[in-house]
Amino acid sequence: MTIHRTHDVGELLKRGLSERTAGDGDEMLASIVRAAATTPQRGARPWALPISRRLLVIGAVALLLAALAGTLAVGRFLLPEPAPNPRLPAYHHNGVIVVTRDGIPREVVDIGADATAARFDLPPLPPISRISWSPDGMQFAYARPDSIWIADVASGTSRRLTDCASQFPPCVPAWSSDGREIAVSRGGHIEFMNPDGTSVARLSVSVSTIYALAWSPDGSQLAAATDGFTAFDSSTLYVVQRDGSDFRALADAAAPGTAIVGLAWAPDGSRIAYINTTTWNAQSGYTLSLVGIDPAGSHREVIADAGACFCLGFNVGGLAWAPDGKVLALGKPGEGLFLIAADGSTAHKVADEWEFPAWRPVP
Amino acid sequence: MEVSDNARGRALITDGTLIARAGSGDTDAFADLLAPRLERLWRTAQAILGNEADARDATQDACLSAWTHLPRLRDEARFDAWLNRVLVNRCRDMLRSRNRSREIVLDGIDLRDPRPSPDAADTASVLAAFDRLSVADRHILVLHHLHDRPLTEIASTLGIPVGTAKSRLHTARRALERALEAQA
Repeated sequence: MTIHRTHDVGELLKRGLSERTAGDGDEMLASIVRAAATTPQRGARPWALPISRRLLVIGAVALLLAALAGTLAVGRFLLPEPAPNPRLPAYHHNGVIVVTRDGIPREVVDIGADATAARFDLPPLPPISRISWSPDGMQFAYARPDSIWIADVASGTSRRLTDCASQFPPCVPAWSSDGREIAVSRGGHIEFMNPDGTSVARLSVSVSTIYALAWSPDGSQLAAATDGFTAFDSSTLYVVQRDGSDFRALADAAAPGTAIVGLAWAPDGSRIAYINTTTWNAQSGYTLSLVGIDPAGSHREVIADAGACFCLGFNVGGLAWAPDGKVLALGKPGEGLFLIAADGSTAHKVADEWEFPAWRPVP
Repeated sequence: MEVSDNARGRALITDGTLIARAGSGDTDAFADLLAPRLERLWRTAQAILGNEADARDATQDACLSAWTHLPRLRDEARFDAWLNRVLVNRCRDMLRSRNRSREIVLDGIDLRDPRPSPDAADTASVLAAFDRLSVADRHILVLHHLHDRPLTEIASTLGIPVGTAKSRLHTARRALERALEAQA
């Protein structure tokens, strides 16, 4: 065998693959469409409109609701009067959770009351993801496909923190517990930024793209999960000190084609929770499990089977730990927002079609 | 072929509308959506699986699965990445099941000249090495060498940053070279 040069191999591969393949899909197309005509589709499609029309409709509905409520003031929460909820006796917490719907953070769910969704009165924003609150609960950072922004609750305005290369998954923001820094993932790096947008430091974590990012509660460490979706390799959960020392891999997803998503560090620092997509199947999509691991990596346990989700890999959902540490909120696109007890003993669906939950610190 | 930004914009709008209609049960829209993509999907499956019948099954299964779950697709702009992933996962399933039940061909042996030309032997050798790669490596090599896709488009199809696509393409090439060396 005398094939050594990359060029030769590439040419031979091209020739071989061309000979191996033949393409006239007309007959197949007819066959597929015939089969589709007798195959039911799963799930309703309330978002079937193009995004531009969706935003128009959302905007119109938001204006109508605001008018009905007697206010067009931007920047106020319209929370309903709390009412006892017999379904959620164990989850009482004086906080609210902001979630996105169709990529727009316009709802607040009062978990301490009856989990009724109330409107979060910000103007409709472009599709966003990965909300991270400032510790005072007055601002939140969020990701767009090409940039990171900060929204101010009081004024209802947003400002651009930094640009990212247009990519999926987008840059992920994580606001430190002392409020002084926002960690922003950029590919396999973490950049530490001041809230005013100036860069402080940069830390290399991985050659793979970071999919999820979380600070330890004391602000001394970060957890980062690398993307394992699209190349069908597994993703890895890393933990590193803020100063870049003690970098270590904590856990790998179970097998190629699986991924670690929805990272959340417990408020008492004892555990890191993540969603592990364990398998992918053309019929049922991903199977998700909620996993907890201690920061030393010595004890890993499956907290709960989080069910299946036929969702795009980058939108498998978000995970947020309640400030009291007793509950995890899990958003599954197209499925709903679930509250899962931290010990996995109970789970409740509290809203429809939410993703990327973020528990708002009470100001 | 170069496509202007405006043309890309129109293509996105058209696809978005087709996806919305197909997601609402419109089979004509689904046919329009698949038509420009099907040949490439099929050729991808053939390249990965090396078997026309399996590739046909994989492509049909993947398209039907896409039809079934299209109402739950939330980001129309990611349709191609999603559809490719459905197909490649189906190919992986088929390879796994093929490994469990290996076919033994008893007839159809070609008794003509058993000595292939040097070029044909080299090509066969490269293909044999290709068939030993992971499905992920095969997929990215198919996108680059068979479909002649530029890195930006490969990145978009796989839903990864361009830098990552470049790195993974390099890794796949190295894996192919190692597989060739192992054969030698």
